[in-house]
Amino acid sequence: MRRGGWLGAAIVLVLIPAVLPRYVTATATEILIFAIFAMSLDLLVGYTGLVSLGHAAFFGIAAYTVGLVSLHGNAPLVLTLPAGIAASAAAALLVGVFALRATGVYFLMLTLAFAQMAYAVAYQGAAVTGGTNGLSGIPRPAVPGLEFTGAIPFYYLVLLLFTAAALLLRQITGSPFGAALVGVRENEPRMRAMGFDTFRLKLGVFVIAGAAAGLSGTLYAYYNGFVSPDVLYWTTSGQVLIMVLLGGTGTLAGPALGAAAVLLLQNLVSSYTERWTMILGAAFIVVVLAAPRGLLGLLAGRWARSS
Amino acid sequence: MTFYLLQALNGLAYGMLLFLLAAGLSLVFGLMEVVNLAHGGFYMLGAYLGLSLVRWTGSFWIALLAAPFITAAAGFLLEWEFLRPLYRRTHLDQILLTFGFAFVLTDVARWLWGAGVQSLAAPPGLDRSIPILGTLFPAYRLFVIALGSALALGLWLGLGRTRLGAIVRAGVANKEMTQALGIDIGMVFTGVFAFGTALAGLAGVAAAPIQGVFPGVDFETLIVTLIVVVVGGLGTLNGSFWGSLLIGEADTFGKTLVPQAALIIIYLVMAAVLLIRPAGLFGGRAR
Amino acid sequence: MGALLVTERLTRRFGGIVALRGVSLEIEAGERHAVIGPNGAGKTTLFNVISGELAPTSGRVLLEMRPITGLPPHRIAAFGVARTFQRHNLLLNLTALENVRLAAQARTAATRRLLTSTARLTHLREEALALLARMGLEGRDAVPARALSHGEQRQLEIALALAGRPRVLLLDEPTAGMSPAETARMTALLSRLGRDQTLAVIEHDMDVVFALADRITVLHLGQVVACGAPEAVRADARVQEVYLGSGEAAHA
Repeated sequence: MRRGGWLGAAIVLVLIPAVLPRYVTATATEILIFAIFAMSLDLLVGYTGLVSLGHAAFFGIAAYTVGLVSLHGNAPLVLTLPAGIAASAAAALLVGVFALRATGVYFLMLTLAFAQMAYAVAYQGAAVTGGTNGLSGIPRPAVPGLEFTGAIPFYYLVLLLFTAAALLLRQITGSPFGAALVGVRENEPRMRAMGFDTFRLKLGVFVIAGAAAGLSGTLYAYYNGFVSPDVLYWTTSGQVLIMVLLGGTGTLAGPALGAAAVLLLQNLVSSYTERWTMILGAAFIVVVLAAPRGLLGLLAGRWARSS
Repeated sequence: MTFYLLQALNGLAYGMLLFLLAAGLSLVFGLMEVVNLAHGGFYMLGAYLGLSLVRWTGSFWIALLAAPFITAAAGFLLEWEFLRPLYRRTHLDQILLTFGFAFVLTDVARWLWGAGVQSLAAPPGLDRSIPILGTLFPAYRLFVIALGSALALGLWLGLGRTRLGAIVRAGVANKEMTQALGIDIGMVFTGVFAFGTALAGLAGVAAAPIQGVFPGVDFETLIVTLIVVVVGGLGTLNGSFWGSLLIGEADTFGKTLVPQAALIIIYLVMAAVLLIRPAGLFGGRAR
Repeated sequence: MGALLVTERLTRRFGGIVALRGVSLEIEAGERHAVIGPNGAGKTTLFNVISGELAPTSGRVLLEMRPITGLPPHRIAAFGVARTFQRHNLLLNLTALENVRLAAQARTAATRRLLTSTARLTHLREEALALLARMGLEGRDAVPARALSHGEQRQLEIALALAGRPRVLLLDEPTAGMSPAETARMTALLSRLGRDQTLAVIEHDMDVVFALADRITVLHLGQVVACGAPEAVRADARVQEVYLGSGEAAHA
């Protein structure tokens, strides 16, 4: 049954560009990109119990890295992809060393503060980052011999990388390392008493999550064709967090579904109202009050009751 | 020399505004262990309300008095209607809830007051510069310094010398014990939360003639306030006070002396403090 | 060759209160050593200092003659000193098996393996199942720690400590809050541990102490009052005074 579900999802994802109109392919591309972003945050929030309010920093830093590299001509993907991921991972290492010394509320505040610092630098460092205008004219990526200029080839590139990231993250969460992360979430002092160096565990997962967010940020820069400071703003961190919470923490699949739900809602709503931010806030409030286990939790509950 | 004096006074005025914000945030945390991430939103709401009230009534002073009552009412509603049902859940859930309200407030403000930068004139009498120590200094900023000092003193006396203050301090120290003494701790939570949002609203009106109001000011302010409480130590009034002054001065001097690094000065101060004293300058307890 | 675990004149102050004053004791390899004393004697503080939760004000802790004083708890655990707590301290939402498997994993380098599935590390699973059986929890491996009975949670706690293959196991009141039946079961499980497992036990139940201990140390007001074989300690006049009060009170 489960295997059938995954297979069905895979078939749908592969067939989207062939059977559905162009704008659906574009939306699906964006959903896959944000699904990677949301899964990377789930690694922190859901598995390790580290609630970061500044995950957009690592998404945005990679996007800006791609933007800056692209200023000097169309760099091949084999260069930009590692560059974006490495920049985000390095930033995560730096932030992690500081923020992970703290726990609980302090961690939350520090991640928020560091992300906002990245935003301020992008916003006001106009000489390098283009300030409010950001960096535009990012060409679609290419690998030597292959181009992804069209929407459909780009979709398949994103789908390929999404699949790779999802499998990798699933492998990591199912590994002894992943089991130790869950232990940290459940009872960190006990894990320390057992002999785990929990700081290193947390730093490790923080860098992995930063790198994965970097992958999504890199793809987003290509998808959008430009980068603006908005990718680093707190609302971006909040939006990806609501994707995780809405979908259900600690499940990987949940946050990916959450990304789809949020972006589909945004597409639907944006033709009627400009109050998207308010709706997102309301979604936060409703999820926290009414569905703390997220959509997947609700579904699982219904499943359990009906069977 | 005069230059440094002027900057020091500017930093003091900014620090006093920060103190109004940090004190509310820190008191609420000390009591409820909830960091109110909508705090900047209440600040912004206060500033915009002040703007509108000045337009309607023509008086800055009415605005300065009335806006905090409105933000307090909004804070009361938030606590009563939304945080209360979550008392039995984790503090994280409550913090995430305030995060949701930060989104709502930021959009409400953009909806009602537009996306432009708006400014508010200092009230008549304070809209000029007065000679001080051989130079001229805006009278309104002196007023802000006086207002902040008066409130700091009032808070200090109020917490230390009154029965109400004793109840709040008892609540911070030991919630179960306070409840066992027959005090409705939920009412104390609600009251302090509303008071914190009143202070944020007051800071918003008071800051408007200096900084103006614009969308995004909510998070800009929230972040600086968070840095203040991280530096000073969360949950202590002393920490909020000295943290505010330190960050106020550091930011003001940083912007004039090393403008290239203006943006990250306060982050560097925070990083330095965290390396030396991980719990903040006045934060005694482990976290 | 000295004793396995040695404390040298350990003193620990909390402000004006002296919780430990110059506590020196030696625990030999393979020994089962009980630490007893009235409430407030400093027993748990002593364990906290040995396991690194607290730093001593002065004095040293030596494991196999190497000083381990002041190291962080995870380093001391890695050197082979494991402990349990008075209040159980488990990963409550994980199953009994997952709890013990993590503890076994802590000893290995497996945590660095990001791409190996935990399911494929069968040796960790088998080791964990064996430990559960050894502590009387066979068949309970799939039960979340939260759902175990109080006695079972204490047994699981000890299985966790044993998973680190400690050279010394510090047990802080292993039978606290247990029914007589649970206490008897726990005592039997502990005495069935191999003689190669060095134990130090804080315990109030004298039946447990005399059933288990090779030697007993009596602490009172942070000082060692007596140390020796059970019979000698039972006969010691100062120990009787500590437990029974002054001679007159004993007569009364």
